Amino acid sequence: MASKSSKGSTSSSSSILPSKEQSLFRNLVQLYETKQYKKSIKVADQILRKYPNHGETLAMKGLVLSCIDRKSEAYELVRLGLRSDLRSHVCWHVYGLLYRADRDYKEASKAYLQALRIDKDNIQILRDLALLQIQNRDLDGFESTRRTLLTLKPNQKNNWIGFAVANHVNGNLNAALNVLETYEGTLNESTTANGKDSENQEERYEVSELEMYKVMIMYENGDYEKVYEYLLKNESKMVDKLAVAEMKAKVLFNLEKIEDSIRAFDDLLKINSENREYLSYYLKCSLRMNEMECFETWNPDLMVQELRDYCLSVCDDLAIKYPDSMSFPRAAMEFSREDAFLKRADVFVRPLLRKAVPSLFSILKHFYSDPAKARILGNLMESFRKSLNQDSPQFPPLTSSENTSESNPEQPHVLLWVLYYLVLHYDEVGEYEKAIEIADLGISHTDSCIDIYLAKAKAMKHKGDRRGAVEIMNHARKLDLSDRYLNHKCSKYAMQADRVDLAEEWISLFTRDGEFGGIQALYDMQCMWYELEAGDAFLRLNEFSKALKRYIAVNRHFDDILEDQFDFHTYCLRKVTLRSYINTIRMENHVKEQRYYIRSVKGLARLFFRISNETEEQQMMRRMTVDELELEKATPAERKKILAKRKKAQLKKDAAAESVKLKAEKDESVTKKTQKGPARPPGWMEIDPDGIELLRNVSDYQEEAFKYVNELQKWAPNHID
Amino acid sequence: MQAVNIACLPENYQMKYYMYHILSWPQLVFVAEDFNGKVVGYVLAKMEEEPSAQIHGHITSVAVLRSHRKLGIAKKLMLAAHCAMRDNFRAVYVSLHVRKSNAAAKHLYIDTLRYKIHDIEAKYYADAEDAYDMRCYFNSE
Repeated sequence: MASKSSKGSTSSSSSILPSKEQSLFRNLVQLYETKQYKKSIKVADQILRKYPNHGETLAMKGLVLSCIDRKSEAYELVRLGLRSDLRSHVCWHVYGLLYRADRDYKEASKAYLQALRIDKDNIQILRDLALLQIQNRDLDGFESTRRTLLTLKPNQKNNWIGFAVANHVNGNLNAALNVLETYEGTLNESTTANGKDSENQEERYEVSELEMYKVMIMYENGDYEKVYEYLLKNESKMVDKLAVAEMKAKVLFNLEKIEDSIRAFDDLLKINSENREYLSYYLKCSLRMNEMECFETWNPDLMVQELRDYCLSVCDDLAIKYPDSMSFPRAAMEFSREDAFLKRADVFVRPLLRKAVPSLFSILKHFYSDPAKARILGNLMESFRKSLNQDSPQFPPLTSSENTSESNPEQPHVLLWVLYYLVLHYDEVGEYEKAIEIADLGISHTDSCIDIYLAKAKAMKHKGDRRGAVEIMNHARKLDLSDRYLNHKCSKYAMQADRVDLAEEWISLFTRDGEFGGIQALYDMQCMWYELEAGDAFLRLNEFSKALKRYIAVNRHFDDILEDQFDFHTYCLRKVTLRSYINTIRMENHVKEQRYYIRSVKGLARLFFRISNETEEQQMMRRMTVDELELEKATPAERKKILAKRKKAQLKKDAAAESVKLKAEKDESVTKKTQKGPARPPGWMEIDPDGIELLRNVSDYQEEAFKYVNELQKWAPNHID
Repeated sequence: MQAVNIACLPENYQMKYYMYHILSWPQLVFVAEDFNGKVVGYVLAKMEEEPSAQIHGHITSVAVLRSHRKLGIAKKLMLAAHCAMRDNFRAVYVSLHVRKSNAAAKHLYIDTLRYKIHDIEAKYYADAEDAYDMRCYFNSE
């Protein structure tokens, strides 16, 4: 939490303490800031003993309590403090902090604004308000607050940067730049690293980041000429060489300096030939240089023949120039069709088959959206299979060459990888039986090849034999028990076959031991694919409350991810990593479009629609607690037993609680000894693990369903089915 | 990135930790995407925050999905991170931890990337396995 050094200084509160208590109060604040909570409570109590109604002390004590998990007491105390001192900005500020920590942004905002009404130039409150405003994307408010902060403290670098950022996110690009330029104008000559090689590494990086941030704003504003000049002039201060090179290349393109641009992108391709964006720009440059029409988005299928052929020739040339890259021959395949495609595919796949690259199919999968290309690839692989299936296994002659055959026989594994490809091929085109047949051939060729089993399982799953698929997956998993990828895939297949028990058993093999493992561990690590598969499985099995628990888990992760950005609003101003910060802000604006969230929301909508269609009786059962359900399901005789057992258990529990209390009181009077650390508080998945309480809390199922449909409409309006 | 990490390694992190890296050393995070736009590998690196005699970087985590091995992706990711450390931060060397028993990783680091074993940290990992503390000095290439 931000420092509270200005608290207690200029309080317009009606209750001023005598000097002894004032210094105690200052001590209290300091102890809070240094997280010495127990001590700060003691000091607070000291003050309260003499002045039990001192609002600000009550509020501060409440604040401390909220940090040690005594939330309800905290609120009580703060409210008490407010009641006795309504004109204290400290009380209102603390009240706001409490709400903010509980993510109740509306109430927090109200409290801060109240505090500001009393003490309008309080820096600390303004800062906290600014954080809240950017968190909630109240961009106008954010801009206004940051302006105020800058006006009040123009000697602080962060206030300048903060105000610039506020303008930027609010769309005032020119203003943002002006702020930054004005700021640089205020810097002393001696403090700027003018050509002098700064010894301080951190400073050098920060200066560079700030410069790059300015460039980012200029670029977004479309001032390409300005960007280019600025880069040339200030390059020596910019350490992010890659970013500078990329920026230059793009800007040259936008300025129509095509020859310079293409050279720049060629340099970039030398650094990273697999970068798709570089290649895309390179192609656009080539087209322009040839006075041809440029494409907006890369889509070979929509291009006219002439453009496609030209791009093809460019890719072919690049493939020769950079023979180690996969990117160019693969792109060439995108721009070619029929025989030209076949020719290139033939050359492309051979080395990858020899090298036993498992992702070959994945690399070519895109082409399967074109049935003609899919057929070509299938035939090609079948021809390989035929000629490799001889005593002296060979590839057939290259489509393009005249040679009758290649000289040396191929390694035995090459056939295996051709078979592996074919399994995935037939699976993709829907011939599942054939895929499985070939998989079995592969297995009899080499029964230790894990990937073949994965492919077979996939085909079986698509065919509809989910149980069989799980068996095969499990076999593969057992071939390498130390591989987590296999474990997860296996677990996923089990879930999809509605075997939740197996899925959980297997995936737990890789989570930590004991109480830190299992489902709670997966929740802690935000393993959402698992939670979604489990949710889907439970939904299929009509176990609604369990499904609800899983889907809500995913929702909670997204809320956490949105909350995560909070600390970085302050942090990034200090670190000056502003480009990254702005990108993160923008990402968070769209984070709920991510497919995990959409899946969870769809699941929830379906779930609630289903329940709302249930009978009265079924719905009533859903409203019962775990205990009530147990009774409901039992026979009258069993019911008596259950009730008796519960009574006994309750008595025992009360007795135990008594003895613990007595012991604690005894211990406190004795010297404080090191006790065993408190048990870890239960994680969210461990409380109400079957979601029964969660479901009970829903009053109107239809309404709840529509709540989630609205979410879908908001984030993925194209996905509604 | 988080999904790739949890599918490959037992050492996992919450989203905030990834954000912390991206917002502190944005140039030191790289991902590899397949042709369908899916992330199949990543490297997460940082600069050492404690002041020390020599500026150095650290590889927090690196992984490539099993389905995308044999393409040299891990090597490319590591080299990209190394280069960024030198350019942006003037790093003198980079360090990382690897399980003593992890032959594949050791081959990548020692044979391909020229890391050297600097020290052994006993019981470094959660399951009490020892780690090699490895370093790669940049100027020695």
